Amino acid sequence: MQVDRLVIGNDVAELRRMTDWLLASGTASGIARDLVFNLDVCANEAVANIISYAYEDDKHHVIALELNTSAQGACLTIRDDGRPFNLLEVPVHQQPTSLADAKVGGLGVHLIRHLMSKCAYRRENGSNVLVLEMYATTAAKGRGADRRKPQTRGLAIPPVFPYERRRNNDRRRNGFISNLQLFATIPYEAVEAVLVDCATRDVAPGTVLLAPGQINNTLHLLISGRLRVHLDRVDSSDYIPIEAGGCFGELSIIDGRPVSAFVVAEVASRVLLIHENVFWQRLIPYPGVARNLLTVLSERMRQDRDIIVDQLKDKLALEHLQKEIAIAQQLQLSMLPAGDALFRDRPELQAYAIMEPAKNVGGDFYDAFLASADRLFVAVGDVSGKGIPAALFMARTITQLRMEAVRRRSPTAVLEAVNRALCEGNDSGMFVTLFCGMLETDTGKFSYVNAGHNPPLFLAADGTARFLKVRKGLVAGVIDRSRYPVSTCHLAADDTLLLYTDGVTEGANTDNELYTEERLLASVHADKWHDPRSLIEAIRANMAEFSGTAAQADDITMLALRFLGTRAAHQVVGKP
Amino acid sequence: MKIGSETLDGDILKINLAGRMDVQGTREIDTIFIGYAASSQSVIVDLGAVDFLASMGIRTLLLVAKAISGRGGKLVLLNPDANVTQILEMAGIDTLIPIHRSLDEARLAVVP
Repeated sequence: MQVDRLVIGNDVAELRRMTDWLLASGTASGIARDLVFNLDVCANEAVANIISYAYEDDKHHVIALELNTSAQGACLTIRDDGRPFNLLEVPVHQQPTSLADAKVGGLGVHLIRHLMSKCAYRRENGSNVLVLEMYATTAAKGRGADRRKPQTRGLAIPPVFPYERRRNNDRRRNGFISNLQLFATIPYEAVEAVLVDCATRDVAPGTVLLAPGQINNTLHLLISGRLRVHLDRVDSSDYIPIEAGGCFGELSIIDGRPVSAFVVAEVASRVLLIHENVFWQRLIPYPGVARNLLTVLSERMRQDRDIIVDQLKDKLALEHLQKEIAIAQQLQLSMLPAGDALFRDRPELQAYAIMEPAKNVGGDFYDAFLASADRLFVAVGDVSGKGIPAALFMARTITQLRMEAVRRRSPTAVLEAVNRALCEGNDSGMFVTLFCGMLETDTGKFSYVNAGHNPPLFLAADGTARFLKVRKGLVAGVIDRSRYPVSTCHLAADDTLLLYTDGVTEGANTDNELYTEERLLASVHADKWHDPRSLIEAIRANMAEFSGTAAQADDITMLALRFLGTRAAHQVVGKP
Repeated sequence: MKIGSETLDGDILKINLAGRMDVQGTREIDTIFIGYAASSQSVIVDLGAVDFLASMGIRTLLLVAKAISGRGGKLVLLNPDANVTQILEMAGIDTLIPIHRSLDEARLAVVP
């Protein structure tokens, strides 16, 4: 006598493991191969039934198997902790008389009864215990006609009483059809008989199954894989996914109108095709199918609506943003003096400036004006952030600069006053990098201060160029005690200063390389320009060549100021 | 399970099944099997390489045979082994779906 045991989970995937165990144990014990085959059939039928009908929850359960083998035969005991469930009470299988009438229910139990010599059920300690016995002599008995006669040997057939079919388990057992949303709540058998007449279609990823305008007379059921429904373009990023079990094409078979969306296979998928005639004549009459269809349609409608609302929101947000950017750009540009009309009435000065806003406007600005008859104030700055807040902060900065530059003689005093004013009530934490300077037009003395801004270029009359030495100062608008000590240099006749923002030196090309100060310095060779305007145009052209098709990421601002000399200034002043 | 098909003279579809036709095996092939069956009137299902048959497999055979018969076509089984034959007979299926031992016989049986 040999005893083997196995424990499996309540999942049909475990049946194969059980079979392997049964074949190995059966063969090892030396019982006849036919007998092992019969045991295999009975164990499969019994356990499949237990998995399908014995559990009222979807939790994991274990089923314990014990196989006793001896020369007399084999005895398989199956224990499960499901609800009281006697497999042997399943209604007796009726031998079919015609294909049309043939039923498959109860067939498993029928096979068990006829293959086994003795079957018994008992409820024990909260478990179902099914004992299947097979005698070596009986098993060896012939097969065929005599076996087909109803047999009651060893077992009195218990009275048949109705029990509720458990649909969840039914569906779990019955593979793909159970996953179809349309047939949820419908007995598998009812649907299967119809679907058996329908063709399937296997599609590769990317296959377009339906396209707008197409006439469709087929309801598609997704058996496996994943599809996407695109409402607008076949490759749009907005789509509604269809998972296995979902359906599509139902709208066009309901209203008879052409398809309205793209249906594309995301992965290799299998689709069951139900012709509209089959659908209307054979499926809709089943109670529940129409209701399920309405549920599917309602869900689809809600999904569509959500997508439309989202798209609308995005569109409104975008429009709002675009409007804001336009306002900010207008604000920014309206604050700046015209770059091509600076100091036209001052023969000792030449100046030119540009400010090219990027798409999503930054806060660059330049300013240049005469604070008094002999003092020219010049500034370039870059406000942190974008949009209207940056434009407003820039407007405040310029207003303060203009006010203070007229009131105070030293650039240090001007910048420190502006900084204090900007810090006041600056809860948003914005700041501005700022370079500003004062040129005494009758001496050429240039005093300047810097709040975290790029150092200007000094282009001497002899054709040499260098970056102006600037002191590092904290950006303005952050700490009201910030100090900005002054530096000075002297502008001789025909010396030029170029003030700019980091939109110049940090302009990127398509390889994400930056323009850099080195490239800026190399681009201002003396033979490329002759006045402030041609200087800035030469740099701009060089930048454009460098950046190629790359989009402009930041505002680009440059201001060039050329001093023609004290003599020129005195000539003007000396005029009556 | 494995499933394959070939078309024989006379527009006969021969479906070749192989492996264990248990719950899992049947599940593996049933949609393809149903798909094949949907496309033909004369079908021979070769069970020669099927070494196990459970009620789940029988149900699928029966449904496909029913569907074909409902369309006026015919399905027969070819060469099930002794154990599988025993199960078919026990279920009474052999009286509804003819079992044939040779391909020629099966072909004659499905030709309209």
